[in-house]
Amino acid sequence: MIGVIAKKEFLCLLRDGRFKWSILIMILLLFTAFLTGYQRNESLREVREAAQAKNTEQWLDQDRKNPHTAAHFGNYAYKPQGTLAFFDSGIGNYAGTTIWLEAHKTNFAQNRPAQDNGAISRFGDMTPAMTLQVLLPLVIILLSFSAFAGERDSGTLRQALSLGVSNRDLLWGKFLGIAAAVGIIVVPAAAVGGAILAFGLPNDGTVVDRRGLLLVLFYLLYAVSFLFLALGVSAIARTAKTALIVLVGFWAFATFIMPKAAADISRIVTPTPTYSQFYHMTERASARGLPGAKGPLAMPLDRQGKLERDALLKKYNGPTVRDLPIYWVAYSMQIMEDRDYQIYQKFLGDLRAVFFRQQSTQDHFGVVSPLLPLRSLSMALSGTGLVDQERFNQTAQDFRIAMIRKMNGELIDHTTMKDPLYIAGREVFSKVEPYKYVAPTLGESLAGETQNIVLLLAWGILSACFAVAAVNRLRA
Amino acid sequence: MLKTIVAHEARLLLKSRATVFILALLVASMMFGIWNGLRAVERQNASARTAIVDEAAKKQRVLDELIAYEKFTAARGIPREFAPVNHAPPRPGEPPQGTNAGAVGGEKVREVAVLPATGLAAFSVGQMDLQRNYTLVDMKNKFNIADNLEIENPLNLMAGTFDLAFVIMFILPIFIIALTYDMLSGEKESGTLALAMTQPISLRTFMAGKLLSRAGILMLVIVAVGLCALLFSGAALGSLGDPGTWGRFGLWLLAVLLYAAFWFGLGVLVSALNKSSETNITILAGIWLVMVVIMPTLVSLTATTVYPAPSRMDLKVAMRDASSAAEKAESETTKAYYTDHVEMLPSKETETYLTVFLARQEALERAVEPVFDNFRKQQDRQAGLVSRFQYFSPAIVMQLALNEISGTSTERYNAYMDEVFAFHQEWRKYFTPRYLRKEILDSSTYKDFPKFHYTAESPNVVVQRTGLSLFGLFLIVAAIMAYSFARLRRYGVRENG
Repeated sequence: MIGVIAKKEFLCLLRDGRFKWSILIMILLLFTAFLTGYQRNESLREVREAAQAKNTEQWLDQDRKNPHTAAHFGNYAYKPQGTLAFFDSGIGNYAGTTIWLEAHKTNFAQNRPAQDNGAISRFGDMTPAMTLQVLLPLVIILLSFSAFAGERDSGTLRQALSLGVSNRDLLWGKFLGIAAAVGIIVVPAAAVGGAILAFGLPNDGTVVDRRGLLLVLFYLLYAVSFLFLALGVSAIARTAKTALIVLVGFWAFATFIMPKAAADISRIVTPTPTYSQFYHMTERASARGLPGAKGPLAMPLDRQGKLERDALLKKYNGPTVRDLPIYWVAYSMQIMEDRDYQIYQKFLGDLRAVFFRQQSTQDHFGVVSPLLPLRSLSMALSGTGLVDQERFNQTAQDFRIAMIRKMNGELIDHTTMKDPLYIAGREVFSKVEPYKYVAPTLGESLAGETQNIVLLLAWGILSACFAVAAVNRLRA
Repeated sequence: MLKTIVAHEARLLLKSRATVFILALLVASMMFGIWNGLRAVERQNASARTAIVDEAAKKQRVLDELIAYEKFTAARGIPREFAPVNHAPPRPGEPPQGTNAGAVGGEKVREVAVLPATGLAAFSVGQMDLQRNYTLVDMKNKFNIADNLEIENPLNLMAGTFDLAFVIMFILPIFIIALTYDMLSGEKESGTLALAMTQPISLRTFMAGKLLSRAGILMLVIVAVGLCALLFSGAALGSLGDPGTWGRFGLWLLAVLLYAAFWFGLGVLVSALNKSSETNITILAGIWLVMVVIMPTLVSLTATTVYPAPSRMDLKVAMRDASSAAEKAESETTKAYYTDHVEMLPSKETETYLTVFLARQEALERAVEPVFDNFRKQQDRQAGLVSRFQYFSPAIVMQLALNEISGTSTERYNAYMDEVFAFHQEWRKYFTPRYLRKEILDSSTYKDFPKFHYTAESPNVVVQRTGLSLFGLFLIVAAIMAYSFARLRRYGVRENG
């Protein structure tokens, strides 16, 4: 029985002009999104890899000079693309892509691609993820809003029920029929995505495979939620028109209004500090001491400097720094660097906590919109979320302090106050290992996502229960 | 007769719970929008204020040191000296860095060049959440200065702000669709259309009455809430006294009116097609989707595919290449010492350091300028493409216009950055010769340092940038209305089209 209903539903949908068009448009959009996403991703990856390689070359090939001056020239870290960025570019357009890692200064990742793309890019990006997150639910709604309500309007529901079809058969038949129609859209697109996954991406095959499978699973869950929801509303609504209005209204609310409103609410709950506030706090802590810290970090900089100098003089038994066997200027600079590193780690850590708290606030709104948990999961799996950006930021800062320790260390060891002349070349610069980004593992990517997985599962289960309950009380 | 219909319809609408609900939602979302927009502007202003206070304090510290030195020398009747660049604090009696124009203008003192928010800035956040509304100017190269990001969670930037512009562009059309999709089909489906047509009125007058009542009520709400938004945000930002603010508000009303008229026009058009309410709503929702979601993203995709912005990564690579090349010209001995830490240099060499530094900044700028130019050119080409394609979607017209009217567009920002770059030259011109002449800076000259004064764009510029596209939108609306009302002539009151 279910099979017959499914087949009828499927054929009816295919023969309806409106649905034919929407399916065709969706397929075209998905293909466009996949292909441009892939092409763009590949060219970005090439640029990025070339820039990072060039950076290493520029670092090693710089003129022979004092190592500390070399540290001022510094290095750049360029942000790599996530493994599946062609599918979901995530926050990629809105996160900084280049960090200058130089002596004395802790910089933010600069150059968000959005600033070069004009205001129109703020409408959103045509990525496969966006198409599936925003447009697919609408197509599902269009395919299913009249499943029960439409038959009720035309009177065929009464006939069907009079034949003795069980409500449950009716629900599952319609579910399968519509799912098959949706499959026409999704399966070819998934094949393209799978092909890119299998043949188009470099290395790390296994990891990407698992990520891809999980993506399919979560998107399936999302689509099924909308399908059940639409069928349930269609069963309850008095007319097809009402069902459509309710469902389209929910769709607009869940996919357009909620993500923005949630972002604003998260900012109200946890405000983001501004650039000037951030540097105001760090510079103050650097000069006067970090409030709440223990040991030298809590002291003003000059007191810490004096303490360290006295300790050094005592250790080497010299009356002044000029008598030391090490280079005091470089040593004192390194004291400042280490101090600042810790202070910035504290404030950057606080900032990171603000970002993650904001994300968590937004995720809570997953209770009213299934898009939010799916969006977070999709970004996390694609390697284009906040976790990945913060990994980039942190590894870059770690690289920076290691580079500066090496360069200042060279000076400390090889020069003295009486003879500060020291020219280093490639042999010294090459002691700095080139910056390498190691992407989070699957486990790390999903570490903060438990709540989202639960929410998405709950959407799937509850919407199925809702549909079953609604259909059980079906009235012709 | 028209008057009677309008009055009758208006009464009916206001008695319908659905309409009141829609209007309440519109008012609520507009209020939430203006509140969010105002918070964004206040955040920018607070950020700039902190920077100004901090930079002023830094300048004061340099000045205090200099004044102390001046007093010291005056008391003893000894001549003042020019301080070579030195990062260690001066010993008593030694000239401080404040005497050295190169050190002062190069890093000790920075000018905070602020782009002031317009009176309507809270109406549309636009692109202002990406970069700061102020720039810190010193003698470093302009590409360094142009890296002026504002801290924000990329997640929030991706979602964008729920501001008034969002409400107008995305939500307002949905409400208009809800008010207009069944203007005729509803009457027909309940059987009252034929009844109404027995009265001595034409279908077109009937339609006009329905349209005017709905548009009237909605526009009344928008004007009222918009005015409240202006008073609310203007009072908070202190911009109500500025006639420019009211001019912008007038333009804003005009733009919103046209945009609303477009969607009302579609409502009439769909009604004239004589289909069922269900079909009407499907068609209108489809148009909304295409106009507000699909078209803008496709145009954006086209613009960035045809004219991709050059990679900022490439710009950095070019900067470093230029820096290395400039470095090759410097003498081996200077590099042996610190070029950035000059405490240990014999004093005659410290001067070469700063000269070399300044020369390097300029060499770097000259070398990278063509690459940097490319960004602007590509941006202009993208903008050109977008402005040609904007008529495919009034949402694009609207976004460009609202950002322009609120003063949060890329164009205004770029014009501001050009002013900053010009000021940067002025800053250099002030300090470089004084440094090269080894002039001993006097504390009394500190108040004469160049100041950045933003030259606001003239109101004409805003009208110019938005006028053509708004006029284009007007033509589209007029065409839709004319066609729809003409088509109503063929409307069968009893049969379906």
